[in-house]
Amino acid sequence: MRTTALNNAWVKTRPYANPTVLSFVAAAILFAITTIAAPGFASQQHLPIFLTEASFIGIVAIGQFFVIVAGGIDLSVPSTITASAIVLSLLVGSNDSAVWWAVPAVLAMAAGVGVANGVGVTILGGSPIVITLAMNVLVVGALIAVTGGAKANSSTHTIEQLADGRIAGIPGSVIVWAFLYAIAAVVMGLTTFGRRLYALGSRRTVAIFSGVNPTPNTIATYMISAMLAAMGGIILAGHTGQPYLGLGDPYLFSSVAAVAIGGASILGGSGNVAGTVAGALTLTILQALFPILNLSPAALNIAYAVAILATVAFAANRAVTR
Amino acid sequence: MHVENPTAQQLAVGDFASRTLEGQRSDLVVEAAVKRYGATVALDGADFRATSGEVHGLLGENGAGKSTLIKILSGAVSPDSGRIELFGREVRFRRPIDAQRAGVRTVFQELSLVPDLTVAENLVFSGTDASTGLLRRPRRLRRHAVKVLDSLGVEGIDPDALAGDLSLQQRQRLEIAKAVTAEPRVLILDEATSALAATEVAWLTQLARDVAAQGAVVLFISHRLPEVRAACTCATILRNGSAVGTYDLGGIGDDLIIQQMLGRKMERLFPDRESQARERVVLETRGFGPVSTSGGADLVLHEGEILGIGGLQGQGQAGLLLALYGAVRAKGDIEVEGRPGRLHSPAQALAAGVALVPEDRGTQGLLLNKSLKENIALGILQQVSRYGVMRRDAEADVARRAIASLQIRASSPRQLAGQLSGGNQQKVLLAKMMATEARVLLLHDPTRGVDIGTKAEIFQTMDELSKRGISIVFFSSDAEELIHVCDRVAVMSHGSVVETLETAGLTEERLLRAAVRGEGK
Amino acid sequence: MSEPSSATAPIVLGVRLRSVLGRIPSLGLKLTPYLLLVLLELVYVSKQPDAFTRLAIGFTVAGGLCLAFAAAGQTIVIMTGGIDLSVGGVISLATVLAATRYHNSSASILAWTVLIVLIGAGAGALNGILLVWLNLQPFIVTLATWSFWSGVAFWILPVEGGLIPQRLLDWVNTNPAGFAVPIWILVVGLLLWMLVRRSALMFRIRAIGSNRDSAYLSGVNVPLTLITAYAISGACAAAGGVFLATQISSGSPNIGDDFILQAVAAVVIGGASLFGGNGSVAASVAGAFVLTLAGSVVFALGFSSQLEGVIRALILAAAIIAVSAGTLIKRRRQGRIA
Repeated sequence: MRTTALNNAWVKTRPYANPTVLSFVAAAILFAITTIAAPGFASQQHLPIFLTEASFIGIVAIGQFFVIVAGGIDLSVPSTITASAIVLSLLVGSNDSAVWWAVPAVLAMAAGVGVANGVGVTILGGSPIVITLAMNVLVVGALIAVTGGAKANSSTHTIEQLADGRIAGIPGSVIVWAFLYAIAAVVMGLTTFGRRLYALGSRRTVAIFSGVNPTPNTIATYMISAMLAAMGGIILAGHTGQPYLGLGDPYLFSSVAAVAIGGASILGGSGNVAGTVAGALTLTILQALFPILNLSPAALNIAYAVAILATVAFAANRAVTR
Repeated sequence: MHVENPTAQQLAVGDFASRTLEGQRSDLVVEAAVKRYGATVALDGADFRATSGEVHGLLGENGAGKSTLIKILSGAVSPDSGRIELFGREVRFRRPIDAQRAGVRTVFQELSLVPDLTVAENLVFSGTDASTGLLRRPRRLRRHAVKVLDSLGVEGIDPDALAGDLSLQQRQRLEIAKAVTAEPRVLILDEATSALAATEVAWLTQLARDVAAQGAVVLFISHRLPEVRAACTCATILRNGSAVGTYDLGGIGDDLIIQQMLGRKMERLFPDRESQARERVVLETRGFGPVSTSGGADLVLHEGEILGIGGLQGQGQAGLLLALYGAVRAKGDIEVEGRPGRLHSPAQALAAGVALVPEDRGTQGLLLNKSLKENIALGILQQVSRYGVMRRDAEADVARRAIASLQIRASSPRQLAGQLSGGNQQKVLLAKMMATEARVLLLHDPTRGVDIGTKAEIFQTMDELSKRGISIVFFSSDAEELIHVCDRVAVMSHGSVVETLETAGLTEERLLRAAVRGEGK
Repeated sequence: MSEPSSATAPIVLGVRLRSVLGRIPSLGLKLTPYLLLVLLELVYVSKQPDAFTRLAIGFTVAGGLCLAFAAAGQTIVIMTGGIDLSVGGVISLATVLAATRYHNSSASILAWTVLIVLIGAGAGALNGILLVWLNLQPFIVTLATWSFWSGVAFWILPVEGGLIPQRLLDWVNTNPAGFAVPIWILVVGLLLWMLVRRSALMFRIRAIGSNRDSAYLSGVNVPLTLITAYAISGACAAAGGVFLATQISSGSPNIGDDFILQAVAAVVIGGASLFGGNGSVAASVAGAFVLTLAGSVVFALGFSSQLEGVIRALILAAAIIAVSAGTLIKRRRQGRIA
């Protein structure tokens, strides 16, 4: 939507409070409610399990965050996750030492997908929704064509440990999540690259006129997103032991929702990576809440809807200067 | 308040009111209008009266409340309190459509044309279903558009062209046509001349008078005093959200007007300057311009020189600046600091020491949802970082220095750019480009929509920059600015430079003649 | 008024000529979906000569009609510069309602069909209301309402099932005046579009997508028009869902999910800009059938169904590249970089 900056009714200034802080508050409230409803929820046995579940969404959401902040969106995340999980399992087979070259290989494959997305969006000039959408179908199709639908089995030790192994009681996937989050926070918050992405997402023309080169920066975001999705897929492979088609499907909704709940604007240009953590936690809590309260998937869907609207409505940055 | 000219005929609001009691009606009355945006008071109990049959000017700095008053009269914004009376009846506008139904038509500064609709469609488009019949029939619509444009003397606009493809000047004329053709009872022209050339301003002045003669109230807002004098019989001056007086323009001097607008005496608008141009050539072009336009410009820019770009509107000046900056694909030869080769992107231009202050500060120059600091830093990321990591202290430092040296009025470097007034936003934009330490500054109409006080400050800054050896290419739609600020003026027509004139002793007529003569070629 | 000088006449002519010439590439762009459709049909017919009978065409139309409805509604929303992800939930809900509420009588079927479409319109209006009231982006609002209506569908019918009255199934399979019912529905729908294409409402919708501030200043009631646009999308999705139910003879609480992105793809193939301001329902419908035919063509060409996904993606990619290339050429001609 092309709008001008009209200094009147359309420009509202400043959110009620920092959107990221608000999203954490919301997550904390939900956590408290769940703990009351199910006292075992916060126990030493259950908490790591809960955090592992959250880490999958969290890792993918970080990648989605990069793309969204720069003004795009990555709808090819589901197939990238699925393909990474299956390809890794097939490459490794039962040969544990193969992990050391298989993981980089899968990440490189994902990077290729990301670059293709980026090129489609920048050089070809297509809209991100359309390009990544097509890529999603292409990757799945290619996966089926190449593997012929073979069943993959990823029960090697290293991969399992990566996901479920514990260090000081903390599951491997959570450690990976924390590590990736830290890097992302530094990059987005402290580097010139982060500044360029925020500028591109706020108003692309201004960024270009300020000397930002949109092409490599945008391609980089799609590459990052794809690689993080692949990371998520790899860890999922270790966690589930038997990756299947459709493994990555739920993560489209949840990665975008996590970014939005975390207070970032869907149009780009604002938001904090920390918000994706709160978003991932919120979604996972909701997921957990329902079996506990004995509610059907129907109610879960309705609750998702309300949760998204409520948190985004309160947390959304209201400076509508587009 | 010390009145400069004792012979000036000053009708204070009170006097006007007493004239009303003598039987002179006021067709448009605004009483005690108040509008606040958070902590900012835009209108502080403004009283305003205007009569039909004459063109009434509205003067004031940015932030004086002019735009807010206009928006209230147009229905775009609702006042917090106060009343409006139109032809004797009280009215309450909640949305623009209410004002339009009451016969108010506004030519907005931001323009209300829909880019994806054609010229013909834009002429009749409104929120109502009134134009349905015409919209359904493309051929009849087109004929209607041709008739309207011809009858108003608007030339050179294709009724089937998309409004978004027109030049700024064409869009402004179309916007004016759209408002006038609706036969309004109140016509508001908000900075309607900002993109027009001198000949077209005369056209608009005549149009405004015609509409007024037909019994409408016509309000004319402009920052250019000569235009206001030419078009209006009287003018109301706003300052700090209220009206300080309504004056008969016949007997009042510019100095008093400016004094009333500013609330203080003002030094001259243009700096007393001498050319600082040196021998060395920093920029040279031959046959240069955007690939999409005809013609090509031959320019020579010396170190420390302020070179003006003039000519009638829409003759390729905007495209030239964009091409020089690498923002559009260019053709022709160019040498920057002796190095040949075109600049293929703004990033390359900045690296070569060429910076552009673009036309539209809101959509091309600044990120309105980001702070002052961040905006300034965006153009100099490498300078305020080390190995790719931002240095907050360096960033804050640059911002503070910029605020101080350009006297930017902001609460802090953290204030959002979108919250600043137009003039201050322009200063931030200028500061941002100056921070890049460019040796060649391209300025695209930097004083458009900027108050007089800030204009003077910007011209002063330009003079100081030239003294430091920085070369400036200055495109302005105001001939007076070109004459008083520049060392030379390159007059453009159809994408080429037809004549380059020294500004010493240059008159506006001479400049206009050169511009028009280029037309005939 | 001044006389137009002789100097300006060539300028006017030049402007006119350039605008006519300039419109040729965009004309080519506008024809893309139709050309693709014709191309696909030719390939299909060459492999299966009996594909060009009224019967076969009827089948094809029936197979793609739900998507066509979804694409039609999505076009309207995209013209405002937004997007409607909730059609997934609305389509599912429509099939579920049809499968559980219809009784085997014309009155019941008719009444419930109208009601279902109204519910769809209501769901759409709710999108519009949330959009305006909460001042959020369409993506997020419709993402949430998609989840919500899916939930409602699951609640009514947790697993695929239910029953569509035989009466309705029989009627859909009839051939009034020699043409299948789906073909009639399509034709009526397109005629409706032709009537409505240049209505004031459509212009208001395009204006909002083109420049929301301009639309507001021109007097458009932005909130009302947005709500109307989303209501239309919801109604179209519901209508598509009802038809879909007759094709699968049951209701399914998650069948609508696949249609969301496909509908957007159909609109893209149809040439509408995702930023808003432009669009044609007819072109988007053509785009919908391009996607539908792609599946049949894959089958006819003898590829295994495993490759169907790839082929579909390739066709989608080809369409996207064609449209993007066209826009790219246009932008290069104008010399625009930013």
